[in-house]
Amino acid sequence: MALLEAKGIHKRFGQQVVLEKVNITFEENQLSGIVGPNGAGKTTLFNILTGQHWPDRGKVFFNGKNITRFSRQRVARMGIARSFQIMNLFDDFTAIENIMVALPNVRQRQFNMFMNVPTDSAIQDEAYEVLRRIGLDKVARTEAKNLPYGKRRALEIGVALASKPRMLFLDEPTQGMGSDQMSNLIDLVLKLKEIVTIVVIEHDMDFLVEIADVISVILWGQIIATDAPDKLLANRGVLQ
Amino acid sequence: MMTDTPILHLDNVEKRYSRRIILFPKTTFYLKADFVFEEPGIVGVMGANGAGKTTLFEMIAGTTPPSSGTVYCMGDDIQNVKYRYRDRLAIHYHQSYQVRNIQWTKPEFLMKSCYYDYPTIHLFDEPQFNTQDGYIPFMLQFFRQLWMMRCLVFISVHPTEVFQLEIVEHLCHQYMFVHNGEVSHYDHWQTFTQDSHVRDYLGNTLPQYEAQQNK
Repeated sequence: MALLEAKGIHKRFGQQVVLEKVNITFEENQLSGIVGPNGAGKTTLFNILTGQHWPDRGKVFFNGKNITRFSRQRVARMGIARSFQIMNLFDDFTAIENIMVALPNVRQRQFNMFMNVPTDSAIQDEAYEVLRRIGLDKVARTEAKNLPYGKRRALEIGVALASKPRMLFLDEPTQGMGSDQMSNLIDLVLKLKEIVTIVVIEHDMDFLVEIADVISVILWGQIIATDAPDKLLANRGVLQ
Repeated sequence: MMTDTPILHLDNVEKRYSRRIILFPKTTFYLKADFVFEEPGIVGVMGANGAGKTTLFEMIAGTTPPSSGTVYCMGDDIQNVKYRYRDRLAIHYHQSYQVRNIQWTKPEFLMKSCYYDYPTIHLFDEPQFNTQDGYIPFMLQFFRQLWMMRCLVFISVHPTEVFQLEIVEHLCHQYMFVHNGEVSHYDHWQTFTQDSHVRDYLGNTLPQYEAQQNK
């Protein structure tokens, strides 16, 4: 059984057709990619899979359970985390504080979340462990606004990882990155693939070819091809 | 699909936009279309900016009502199908900035439902053929896939480069040209490109393409 499955998803914004009868499955422990040009419907599909939007028609199943009309908080609690195309970090907080805020044990405290946190060594250790995984343990005490762009992107992934998700969605993680930052990101994502099921959306097909086990091409709101990267590239060559 | 029902029939369709200057209305836009498509296929549509390609697509998709005449999609007058079901007959893919709101002409309860789940008519409004990002092969495969599924596919293009003409010639089975308020229909690339209006519209791109083909 697929970990996440979307069946017959339709979405309209006014008269604009954004998704048309999308069927897609994501297997556990696989890194899946969704590619398509700007405006193809990638982010809307992500928003529906992660509970940010509800589809007009169609259903989403996570681990066999119908989560179509769950709130995004409930979807997140079930184990689906995501990063955004536009970064969502607390700029005045340090890297470790950004991670701590996202830890489930801290979030449960709600408005009292920072009470005793700086001295709670268990929480600090947990946050350091997340930072170590994403290679940011050496800049733990640096404010997010002072981190270079690539590290801010990595920190955002760390924030999503802090909730200990079973599935991690990354929305255009390479946006604005140079080639060095991109290769660091590839290393990071490949490392994370060992511990979490990942779905990445990108319009840069070359990046996904490096990291994905399976890639789906989305155009005009429809999935028009799904295959392993090498087969997809071969197919593109044949089509060309 | 019923075999004796045309997929698309524009029966003496006219669209007119007017502006009233004191007492006298002045026509600012006029488009006339009268054609039938019985069979699935891929149709290339060209015409200068403002000629009426998007208006033609909007009338087929039912978002803009014709001033006179009737658009039949799969045998149904699209203006008589409930608004929310029209894109199950004809679907219009376009840039978001082009989206205009559907024009409501009568209450929905007076209209018909639609029993199709997936549209048969697909209208692509100037898809971006960008050679840099590698999606062109998949786009072309998608158009062909729709045709294999017995859909009728319209692709409006505004060719400015030789490769775009190559795509249109090899992809499309028929061609249309929107010019001077009329929609002309051609069964072959040769007859299409022999039309003097088409040649004027395509400028230097067509001779360059023809020279490349003759090499």
